Amino acid sequence: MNLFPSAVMTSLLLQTVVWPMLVVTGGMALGVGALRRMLSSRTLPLTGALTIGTAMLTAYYLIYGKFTFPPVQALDWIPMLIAGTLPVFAIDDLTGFGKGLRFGLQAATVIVAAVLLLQPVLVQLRLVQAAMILIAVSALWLAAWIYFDRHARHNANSGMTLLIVSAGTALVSVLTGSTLLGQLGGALAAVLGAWLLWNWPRSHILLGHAGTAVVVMTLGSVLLAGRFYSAMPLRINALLLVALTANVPVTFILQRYRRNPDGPLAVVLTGVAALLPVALAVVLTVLYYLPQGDG
Amino acid sequence: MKTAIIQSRFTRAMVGLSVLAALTFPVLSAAADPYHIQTGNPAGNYQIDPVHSMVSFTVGHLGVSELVGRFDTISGSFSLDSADSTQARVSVQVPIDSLDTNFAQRNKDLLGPDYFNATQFPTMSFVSTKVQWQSRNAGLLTGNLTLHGVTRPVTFNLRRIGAGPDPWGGYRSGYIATATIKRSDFGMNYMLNGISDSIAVQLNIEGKRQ
Repeated sequence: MNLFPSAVMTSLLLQTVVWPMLVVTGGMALGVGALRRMLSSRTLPLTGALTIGTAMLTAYYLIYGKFTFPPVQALDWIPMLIAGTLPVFAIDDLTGFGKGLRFGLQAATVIVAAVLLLQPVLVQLRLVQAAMILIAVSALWLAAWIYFDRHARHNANSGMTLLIVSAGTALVSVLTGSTLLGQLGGALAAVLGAWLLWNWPRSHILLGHAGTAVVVMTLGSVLLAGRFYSAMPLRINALLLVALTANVPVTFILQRYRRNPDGPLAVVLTGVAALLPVALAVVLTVLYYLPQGDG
Repeated sequence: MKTAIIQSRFTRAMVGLSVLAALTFPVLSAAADPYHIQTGNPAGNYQIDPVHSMVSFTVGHLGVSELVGRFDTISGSFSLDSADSTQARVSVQVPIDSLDTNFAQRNKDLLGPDYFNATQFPTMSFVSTKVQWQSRNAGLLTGNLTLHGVTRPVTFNLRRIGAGPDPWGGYRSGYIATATIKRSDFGMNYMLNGISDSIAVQLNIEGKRQ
């Protein structure tokens, strides 16, 4: 039986899943096999970051067909944001920035990214309204980044959370009218999936500051674009954001019962905890926001 | 006596009806005229009549069919006198969110970031730069089409339909302009393997002389 009789469907799967996973696998093999021996142990998270960044840029190019520079539409900024943040925070991984400098760079990055992505929307609003949206978006984005920067550097739980939320974002994006955003979210999930598989069964794996920056930039951009340029409802957006905090209760419970909060069990439980709000978001989308027919 | 009165009334009625028929004959005969193209002088400045104008497009779908969509709202003005090409000008604005492909979900998909990105680029516009008449009623209309934040020159095949008075005391003229554009030229690159790059665009405009 031919599961993929449609050339369009086959290319969608290649662009979204197969090529990004291959780039991650190849990049990790190359990085771990060669670069790690050549450089210091600090290059391990850098290998993951470079691999994930390259895979996402590859996926974007395959999905959208080109990089547009200078950017014309809001989504054209996504690869620029990935390519821009990766080297800055790679230097952080190699040299170890102070907390203040890192925070300052992260804050500046989310503000610039929010302005670049939302500028076409903000200029249509009154100044106060635009400022409130910009502040709220930047604050949420920065909070998520700081949270994952603390956790994703040390264990796989955060990687699993980000994978589940990315996959959920992909599904909801497609259902609410943007296959393009669905593909970008799906590619991020595939990249994280390949990265977790490569490292399996180790649960203490390093995404690094740069890897976290790439993932948070991509996911944040897709969620913002879904909310402001597509038809992703606010409550669905909120549920996906709630899912990002899945490892908070899991860590709390495991610590309470004196179990390893960073072990393989934590990874699985975090995945399940993230899946609940994501599944609710998908179900609500299907029930309330899914029009009939197949476009 | 009574018969004479009746005959007299009958005669008067017949005469009356004959006079009425004679008076209304031109109107009745006009109503029976078949539809015909008005060949009046098209010179002048015209405001586009939005309810008799539209932009439609045809795009290939999955390599198996051609889908037709349209933009329901249009505004602008034109002056297309074939006797004086130097004065010719066409200016058209189309709100992207007036798109209709006869299916709500597809409209939503097309208006989103995958294709038109109507939030960021709410208007499509065309401003002419040159008109070359090849005959009294046909020519080439060249101008700048702004779509999806990109402005590019496009040449339409222009056909004048007619010009003449309307029933409400005004004066109208109408045109059809057709062209084929590539959406990738306007930065709309997504899913070129499922939705064709080439898009046939047709602009039907009817204007009321100012």
